[in-house]
Amino acid sequence: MIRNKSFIKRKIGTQYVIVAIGEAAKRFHGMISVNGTGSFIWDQLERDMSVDDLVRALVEAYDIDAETARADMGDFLTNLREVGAVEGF
Amino acid sequence: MKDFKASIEEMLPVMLEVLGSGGEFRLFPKGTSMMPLLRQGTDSVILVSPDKMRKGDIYLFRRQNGDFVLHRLIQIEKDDTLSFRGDNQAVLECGIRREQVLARVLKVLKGEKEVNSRSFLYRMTHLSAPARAWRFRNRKSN
Repeated sequence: MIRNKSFIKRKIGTQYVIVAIGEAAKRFHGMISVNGTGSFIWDQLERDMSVDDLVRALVEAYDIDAETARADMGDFLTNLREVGAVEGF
Repeated sequence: MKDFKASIEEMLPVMLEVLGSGGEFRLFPKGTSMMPLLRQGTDSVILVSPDKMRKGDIYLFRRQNGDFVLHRLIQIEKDDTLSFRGDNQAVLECGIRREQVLARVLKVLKGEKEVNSRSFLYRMTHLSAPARAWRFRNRKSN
């Protein structure tokens, strides 16, 4: 899966958010606030990544086990997919 | 997705980027100056880039002192300055320049229910503004 180029990550105050631009911003008006892990995942998805690729990247970056990584990113990826921010599931 | 609260000042760069890309931006305004159309906390507006100024439409502009204001355009003056007024106010704010205008309200969301800027409800509060302003001026001061 890979992120949709119509969604961008920006900083508002001290908080990172993912927001839609262009035509996508006519369908999705929200702002998804992301924590450090979410921000990291979003950065990774600049390239086409499988769930396993992401798990590997998280395990390496955060020194956690694969189970924890998989659990942590599940909801976040679902949210991104629901709004169209990530494609190719 | 949790609620994310930020001031317009903090959101401004992102908002301008979204509007500049041709997109729409949702804002939950504060205050009572646009009642009953906009109630703080429950109602929100969908903003678009301010392409042209049209009397009766609602715009977001920034005052010289830095304050952000979401009010209705009442008049485009001969010198091309703009005069605004909140629906719940009597005083006309004059001398606003086009460069101060950041966005136009495309539609209002009362709760989650859409009210288009071309609809009667949206424009009705504007039409009754002179009457409300008259009542305000003629109120007994007790």
